[in-house]
Amino acid sequence: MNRDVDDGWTDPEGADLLSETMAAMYQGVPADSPTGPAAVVGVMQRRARRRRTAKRTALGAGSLTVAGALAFGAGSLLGWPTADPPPPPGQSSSASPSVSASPEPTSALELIQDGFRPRSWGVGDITCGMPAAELASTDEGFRFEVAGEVTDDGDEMSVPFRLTPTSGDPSTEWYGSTLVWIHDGTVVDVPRDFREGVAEPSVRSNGGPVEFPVTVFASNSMCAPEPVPDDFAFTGDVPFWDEDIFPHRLPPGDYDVVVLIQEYNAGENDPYVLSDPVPVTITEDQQVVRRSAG
Amino acid sequence: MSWSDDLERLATERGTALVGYAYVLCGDVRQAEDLVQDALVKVYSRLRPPGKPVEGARPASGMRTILLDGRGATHTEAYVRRTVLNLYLDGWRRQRKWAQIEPVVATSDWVRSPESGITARADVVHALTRLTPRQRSCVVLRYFEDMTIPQVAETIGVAPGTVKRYLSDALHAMRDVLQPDGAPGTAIDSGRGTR
Repeated sequence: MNRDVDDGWTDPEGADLLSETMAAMYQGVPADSPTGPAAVVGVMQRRARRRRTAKRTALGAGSLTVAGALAFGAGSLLGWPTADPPPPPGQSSSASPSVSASPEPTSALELIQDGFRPRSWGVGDITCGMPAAELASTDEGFRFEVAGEVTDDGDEMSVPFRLTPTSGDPSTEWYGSTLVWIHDGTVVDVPRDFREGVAEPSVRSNGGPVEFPVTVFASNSMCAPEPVPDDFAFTGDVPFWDEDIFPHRLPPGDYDVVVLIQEYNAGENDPYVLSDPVPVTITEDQQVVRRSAG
Repeated sequence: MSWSDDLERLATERGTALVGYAYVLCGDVRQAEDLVQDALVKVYSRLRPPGKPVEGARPASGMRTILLDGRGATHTEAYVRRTVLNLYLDGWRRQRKWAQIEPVVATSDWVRSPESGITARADVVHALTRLTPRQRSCVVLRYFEDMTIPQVAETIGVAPGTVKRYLSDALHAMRDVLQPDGAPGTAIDSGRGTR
């Protein structure tokens, strides 16, 4: 048995009970579930077939399909968090005729759907269109602030942050760092997942302040949903989470970006901390650059 | 056999076992079913069958499987299991929404076994819910899949020391149900001492 191997770890008493319990759990799942894999084979076959077709199309059509994927904002469609980079800045989403034939709005406020909340986003009470003044950390035991010079390389920005426990548990582990975009005092984009903008998958302060960089880049707004067209060919993972697609970039303009990190727990409604707002500008070619506050 | 037939075979013959594995990981049957469905779709969306690795390529690490029900598992099934683990670790925050919709928690019937106390196992099932996904994954890989510390570390892509920390924290969190009566502090602390 592998657990007898001397690998620098001594299994405690009670490990057998743990093993037995998990074995019983494994064997105790009902075999006749109406929503189990056997009952939804057809659904899975259709989903897999659609993906395979899209992949073959991608292999055959090359750059045409890649361009289509970018036009549809594939980076924002992913159902699961992904380490894939976002679509490169400068790739316009305007070549998306089957999604929306109307011209792109010039203001984020015209773009977004007030009160919308993406299905894949379930943190706190943050919704599209809410006043930025109502954004508040749900864990007040930490100070989360910009800790140094913001750098940008023309495509994206890197912002050094410092998380300092004040009255909070210093051993708290934090997961992800996600971006909330604000325009004219209104939330115009919420994160698509918990890896958006993340530099490290998790952060633990270990008793003192911890510093880490957060990458800020322009992406499609999750506050501007569109229905999935019938003939839509997914080139990435099927967006099984969201019932919409999000093909619209935030328009060029001035924004404030707030970074959100959430406690790494398994419970519901884990507390989160919001950073100071970082003033940025999205340029005409979708680059994110620093902007002086004021 | 086409990929479609193979998917159907795996779903019908091994679907329950796969959901069982996912259930051990996430502790929610509905969530487990969705995890398995998404893992199967992901695996069978590959144009290269998972059972046919690239020639000359090193086998993927951690591609092991468990045979608790005494039936053989294919390489594809092992691949699906690993995909389930990755999806669980990567997407756990979104998965919580499933549980919000319709929580299906363990009952004593599901952990019933004639040779062990029902209550003790139900307590362990409940105690597992206290763990973070990473802690729980380490516990599952160590005490369910019977992996060594280095194997666990390689499978989830962290250092062995990190695995020990997760295990230590997990077992500490579960100490009230794992420690035998009358032996306070001895069992779990022995694990913590090996860090």
